Amino acid sequence: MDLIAEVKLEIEDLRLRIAEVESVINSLRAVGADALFSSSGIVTFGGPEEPYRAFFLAMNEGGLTLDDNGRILYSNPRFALMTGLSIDAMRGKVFVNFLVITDRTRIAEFFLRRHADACESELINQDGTIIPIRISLTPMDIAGQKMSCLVITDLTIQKRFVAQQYKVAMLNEFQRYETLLNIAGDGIHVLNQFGEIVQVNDAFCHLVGYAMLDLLSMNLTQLDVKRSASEVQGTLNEIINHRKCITFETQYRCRNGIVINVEINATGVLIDNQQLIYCSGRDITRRKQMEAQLAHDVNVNSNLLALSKSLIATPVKIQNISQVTLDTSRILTESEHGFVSFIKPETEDNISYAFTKMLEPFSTHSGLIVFQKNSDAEYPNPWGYALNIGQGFYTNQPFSHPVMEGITVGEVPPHGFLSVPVFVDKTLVGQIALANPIRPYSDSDLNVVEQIAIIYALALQRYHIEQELITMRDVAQASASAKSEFLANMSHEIRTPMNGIIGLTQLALESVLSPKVRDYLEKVNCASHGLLRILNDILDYSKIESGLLVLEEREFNLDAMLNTLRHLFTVRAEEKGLAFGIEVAANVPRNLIGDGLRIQQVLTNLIGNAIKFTDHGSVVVTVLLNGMEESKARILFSVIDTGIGMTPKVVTNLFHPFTQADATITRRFGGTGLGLSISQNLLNLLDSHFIVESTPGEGSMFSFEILLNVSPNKVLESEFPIYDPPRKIKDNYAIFTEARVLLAEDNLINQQVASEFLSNLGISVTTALNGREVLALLEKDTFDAVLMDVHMPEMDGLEATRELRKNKNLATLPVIALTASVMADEREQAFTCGMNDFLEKPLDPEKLFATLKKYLQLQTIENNYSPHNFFHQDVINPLPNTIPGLNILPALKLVSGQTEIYQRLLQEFVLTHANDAQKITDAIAVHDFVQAQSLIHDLKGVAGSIGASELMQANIEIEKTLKNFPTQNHDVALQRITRSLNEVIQSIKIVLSENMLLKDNTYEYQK
Amino acid sequence: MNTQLNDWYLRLYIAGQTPRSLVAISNLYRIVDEYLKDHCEIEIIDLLENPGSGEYDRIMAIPTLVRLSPKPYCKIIGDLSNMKKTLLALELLHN
Repeated sequence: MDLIAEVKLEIEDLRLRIAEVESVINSLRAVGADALFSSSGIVTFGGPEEPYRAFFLAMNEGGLTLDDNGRILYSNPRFALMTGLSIDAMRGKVFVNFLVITDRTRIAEFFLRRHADACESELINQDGTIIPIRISLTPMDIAGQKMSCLVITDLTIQKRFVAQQYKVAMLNEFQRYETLLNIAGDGIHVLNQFGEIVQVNDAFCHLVGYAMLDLLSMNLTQLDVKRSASEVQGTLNEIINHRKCITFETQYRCRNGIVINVEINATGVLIDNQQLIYCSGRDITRRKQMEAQLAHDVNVNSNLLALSKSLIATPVKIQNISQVTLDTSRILTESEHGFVSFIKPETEDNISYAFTKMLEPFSTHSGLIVFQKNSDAEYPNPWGYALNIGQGFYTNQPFSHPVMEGITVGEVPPHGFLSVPVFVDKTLVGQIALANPIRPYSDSDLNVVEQIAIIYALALQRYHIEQELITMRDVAQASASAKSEFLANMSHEIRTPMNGIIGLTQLALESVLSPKVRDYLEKVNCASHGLLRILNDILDYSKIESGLLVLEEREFNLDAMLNTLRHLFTVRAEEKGLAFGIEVAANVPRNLIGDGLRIQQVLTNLIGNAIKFTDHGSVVVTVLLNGMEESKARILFSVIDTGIGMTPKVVTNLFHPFTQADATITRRFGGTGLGLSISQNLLNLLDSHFIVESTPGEGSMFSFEILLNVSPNKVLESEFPIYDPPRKIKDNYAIFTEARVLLAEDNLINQQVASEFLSNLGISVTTALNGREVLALLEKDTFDAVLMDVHMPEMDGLEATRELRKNKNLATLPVIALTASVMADEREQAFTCGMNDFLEKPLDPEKLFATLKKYLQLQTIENNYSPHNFFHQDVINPLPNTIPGLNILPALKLVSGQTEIYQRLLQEFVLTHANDAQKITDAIAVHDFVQAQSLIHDLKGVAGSIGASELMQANIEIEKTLKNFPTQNHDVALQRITRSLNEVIQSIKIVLSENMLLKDNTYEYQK
Repeated sequence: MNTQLNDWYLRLYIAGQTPRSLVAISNLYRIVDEYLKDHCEIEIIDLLENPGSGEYDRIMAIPTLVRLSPKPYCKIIGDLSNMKKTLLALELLHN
């Protein structure tokens, strides 16, 4: 054969072979083989396996393939190592059975989920070791079957590392805990629920003095001595059950037996399922001691304070002071016995009013104890020991102490003794001694008692001072009363005769006198008024000096006061040829409140002086408003003259009493020289002072400023009381007709004067000499008012008033006191007894009139007829002012003062109406009432015109009764008319026949 | 059908972790579990590991299952996926 043919055959052969092989492979494939095995090796046709196979075999992790029942189909060598079995041995085994029993179910479930995921578990090695692993699952589909590929990672090292870390951390934690525990200052002790100590820190060991090991085998009840075991358990339960954190105080006994006070904070806590109680405690023994000390000090202090307070409040009696001191001392030192005494300076006796039973044997029958110094000038033991040594001491063994030297035991033996002497400066003034305390005395007790002693000393001092003051006060009071009485007496003694002189002089001046006699009497009048002025000055001065002058706060009218001054001084100034004026600024308030009288007094003094010392020129008074302060006005009064003036030296001496500018002045100008001094004193009382300016030869100015309240009311001019006008009392006209007044006055002259005054006012007067007569008269008759002298013999005015007020019917009877007294309190007395008003003696007609006006019925004939006008005129009345039945003055006014006309009226009256009484009687007798009324009416009118008031009144009466009760008996009334008419006729005859016409029959009114 | 209670001995030849090998193992276990539980010893021989081991049984293709006991000796090539055929071949199933 040729070569090509050979090759072709071989190729053909090969082709056949390949085809064969291919068909074999195909059929193999068909049955599911994927590899062909021959002696030369394995041919795989299933798919590429290397390098994955190498990787799988070599990798560090375990690798597995499981079927869908979890059986190991294939394992790599690493996993074989983990399990400790050969690969062959593992094939077919269920994987999860190589894990720890407790994980098998979990991992089996993990596989069932067929998620590509990882989990952790533990593998059991053949030798029993447990290897922590991570299983990484990858579900796969291999050749149509569900299989799982696992990667198993050995976590041993990792875990070990973590454990290590954890341990380190735990160790650190623990160390920190331990450190904290041990650096804590408080004693920390941890208990279990039974109170057993399970842990302590160093501080606690230190606190109770036990070693840590000892404590760990102890129960809390062994330490706590304050609470019983059940109490302790109770507290523990409370903490556990109520999860409370509580703080409380208790006491622990330390190893050395000493019991300490502790404060515990306790909290319950659950750790690892175990109930523990963490307690933190601290020693508060020191604190408790301080608290106790503080409480004690506070107690002592509050007791001392109470003692001080009660000593201030206590009536200052030595018994009270001693008792309170003793009580406090006993309480604070807890002593059963003791005493408190004081030293009597004169005798140095140690006297006690406050003592306990132990000392009773020493007391005298008067209930006090007196310890006297013995012959050695020492106070006897034991009580005097402290006084002798001069300082406080105490002993709890008195019998071993010098204090009990020479003493036999009494009924109550002392087992403790404390005594403190009480000093003021260096003088011994008393003692506090205590015995038998319920616990031993200590320094603290002595300290407390010494403090009490100080307070006691102060109280004693105060007591002594008070005694002195009481004595001084009594002396001063006696002196003041004596002065008061003297002034009152003086006033009364002097004023009474003065009253008589002035009164009688004035009365005399009212009667018809020859000009020479009138002249003499007028001078007497002036002189007596001057004397009265001086007397008042002296009395005022004495009053001011004894501090007995009381200023009034009354409403007064400035203009009225100044008018009075004008009236007082205009004439005097004119007589000397001086210009005189009073100028008030427009803005000065006129209605003021204050003591107008005193201001007027000062001004009177100043003006009087000004006129006295000025020979030519003027005296001017100015009143200015210097400002307002709320409702008060600052008013500046000035008296300016162009007189002789004063040198500065004179000015300085001016206000001294009893010195006038020089001796020659007294002779030239007269006067006691008291005036300015009194004025100055008055100004001081009025809170003011003089301002003086003067130039010798040119003149002087005296000023003062007063702060006065302005009155909101308008003060009536007529109410300004006039001090002392030297004038002739002019008139009286009967306007109190029908008034019956009881006059009680023991001095006959005064009685006469007053009587006259009253009768001149138309009053019918009944007199009494003393209180008893007054009462007797009041029983018999009725009166409209009583003028009662205060000072009368047998029964004085005050008593009489008190008595008569007891009678209900006389409750409202006006009783007016007549008093010569200057004392304000006599006035008060009068009012207290029931008097309604008072009048000063000597009687001032205007005041009398004003007062009577208040209580008696005033019959005004003319409304604008003011007595004020009358009292100020210099009237020369040619006719007598009164004549029985005739009140001439008012009648004169009706005829504008023309006496001739009046006299003609009188004549007419006599001619026409002389028989009227008879005519009226007759008319009534025949019941001709019309005629009677007509007659009565006529007579009434005429009677009024001529001033026959009584007659007129009688007619008015009968006119009334006739109208109302015509048929009744009118005898009484008719008799009255008859009597009255006769009286009038008689009087007219006298008036007409005497023909009293003086030179000047003009009649001036002052406007 | 009767299964004799003789101990079975089956030998499976595989070549590493080829897919078919794995499937074969899986199927084998399935069969054994179902029909021969506790009566069968299984031996798995990896020819990649032990190349010479196939000589004895004259293995040509992989995977191959060999029944050594009970007699008769038989060989089954493939991954044993055809369950019926396999069971018939092993005489665990009779038609």
